[in-house]
Amino acid sequence: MSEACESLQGSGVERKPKGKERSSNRTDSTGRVVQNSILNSIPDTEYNLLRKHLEPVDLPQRHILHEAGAKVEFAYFLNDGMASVVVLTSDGRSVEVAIIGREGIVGTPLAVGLNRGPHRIVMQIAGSAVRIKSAVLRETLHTAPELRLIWNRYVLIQGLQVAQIAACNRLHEIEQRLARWLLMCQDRVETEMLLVTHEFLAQMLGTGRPSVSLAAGILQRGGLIENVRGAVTILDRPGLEAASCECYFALQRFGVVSNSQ
Amino acid sequence: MADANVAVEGASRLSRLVPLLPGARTDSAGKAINNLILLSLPNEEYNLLRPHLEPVELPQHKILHEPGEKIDFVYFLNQGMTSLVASSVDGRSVEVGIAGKEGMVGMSLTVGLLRGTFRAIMQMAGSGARISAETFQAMLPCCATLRSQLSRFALMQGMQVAQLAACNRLHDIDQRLARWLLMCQDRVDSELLPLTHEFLAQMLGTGRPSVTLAAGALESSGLIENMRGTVKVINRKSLEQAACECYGVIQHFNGGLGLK
Repeated sequence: MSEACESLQGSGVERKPKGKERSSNRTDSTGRVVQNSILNSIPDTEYNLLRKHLEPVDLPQRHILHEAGAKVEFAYFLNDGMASVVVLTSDGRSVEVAIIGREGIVGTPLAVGLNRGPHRIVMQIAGSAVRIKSAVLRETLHTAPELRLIWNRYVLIQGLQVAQIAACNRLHEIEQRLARWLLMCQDRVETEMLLVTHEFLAQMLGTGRPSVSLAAGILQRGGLIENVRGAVTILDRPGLEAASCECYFALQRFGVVSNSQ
Repeated sequence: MADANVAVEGASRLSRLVPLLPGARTDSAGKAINNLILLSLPNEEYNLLRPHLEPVELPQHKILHEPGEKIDFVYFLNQGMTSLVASSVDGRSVEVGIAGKEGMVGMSLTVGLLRGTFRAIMQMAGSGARISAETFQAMLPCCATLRSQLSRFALMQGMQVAQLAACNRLHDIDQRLARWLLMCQDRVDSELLPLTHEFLAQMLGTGRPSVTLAAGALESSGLIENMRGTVKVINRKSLEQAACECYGVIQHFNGGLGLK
C-alpha cells in the first residue's frame, strides 16, 4: 500500500463499525438532549464541529420536511417520531417507499452534492429533531470523515429498505401490508394507539381508502386491532406479526444493522 | 416529472469525473474497460485496482450473487445489465433494482455487509471486470474517488428503486411491461430482446399469463412483436407513450450517472 493509502486509513470504509452508540449526554446548540443514533455515534471532534449549528425543531404530524423536487434547505436528525419518504405520481396518487426515525437522516442527497431530492418527506408520527443548514452541513462533511462514512452507510441501508418495500408493494396483499405498516409504526411510538386515519393509510400503502377499511375490518374481526375514529389501536401484537408479511422482519433487520452502527 | 429533472441537474455537475473515453483503460488481461465508474477514477486509484481486475463474460441469466450468501466478488459491468431480484417465501419474485456499466454489483460490501440481500442476475448478457471481495475491501480505504463515486451510485440507485417501489404498486402491467422493455432496449441497442414471458413475469412480479396478455395487447397495437423466446420492439415512440411516467423518471436518474 502506498503512503497516500496509509494516510487515508483513518477514514477507512473497511473499519469495523463502532461497538455501541454512546449514551446520550450530547446536547444541541440550545442545550436540548440529542437522541439521534447517528449524531450519537460520531466522535467528539466531529460532533463539536456540528453542535453550534444544530437547531432544535418540533415536528408535528403531517409536517412536510421536504417537498418533492424542492431545494433541500436543511438536513434533519430525528430524536423521536417518524418520517415517511413518499413518491407522488402525476395523477396525484402516492405511496410510501421508506421510513426514517431516530436511526437515520432526512436529507441524504446532500452528502453526494445533490441540492434537490425527488421525494416528499413528511412526518407521520409527531416528534422532534435537530436541523442544520445544507450549506453548513456540506462544509462540515469535508472535515468529518466518520460522519461521511456513517452517512454513506445509511444511504445504502435505506436503499435496501426501499428495495424490500418495492417487492412488498408488488407481491403482498393489502392485509399483510397494513399489518406490517402498523407494526413498523408502533415500533417507533411505543403506545398501542396510533393516530392514523384510513385515508392517510391509503396514501402510504398506495391503495384506495375502501381497500384499507376492508383490510382494517378483517384485522379487527380477527381481534388484532380496533378501529376507532382517526386512530387504530393494536390489541394483539403477536397476532399482528403473524398476519404481516415476512417484510416486517426483513425491514427490522435493516433497522438493526443501521442502529448497531 | 420535474422533480427528477432537478435532482439530476445537480448530479450532472458531479459528472465532471468522467474524463476518459470507453476503452482508454484496460483490465489486468488488457481488455478494454467501459465501466463509467472505473473510467472516472484518477490514475493512482485505477492503477491500484487494475492488477486485480479480472475480465469476465456474463451470459444471460448468470447469477452473480444469491441472497444470504457471502459476496465473493464485486462486478463492474462493461456492458449488459444486472437485475436485483427479491423473492418472497412463496417463491414469487420481482425486480427491485438495476445496475449496468454506470455502477457496481455488490454494493453491500462498501459498508461492510458481507452478504447480499437480493439475487443479482444478468438480465442482458454482457461482460465486466470483477475483483475479489477481500481485495476490494482492502483497496477501498485508499480510493477516495472510488468511495465517493460509489456513494453517489448508491444514492441514485436508491432513488430509482424508490420509483420502482411506487411503480410496482400504482401502475398497470401493460405500462410496467412497456417501461421494462424500454429500459432493457436502452442497454442493448438492438430491437431484439431475448426474453421469455416466464422471465418477464419474474421481473414484473406477476404471473406468466398476465405478461402474455399484456404483451398481446402491445402487439395488437403494433408496438412489439412476440417471437419464440424473444420480444421485438417495432415502434419505440409509441412504446414510450404506453409506458408509465416511471420510465422517464428512471432515465433522468440514469442521466445523472452518465448514461445517455
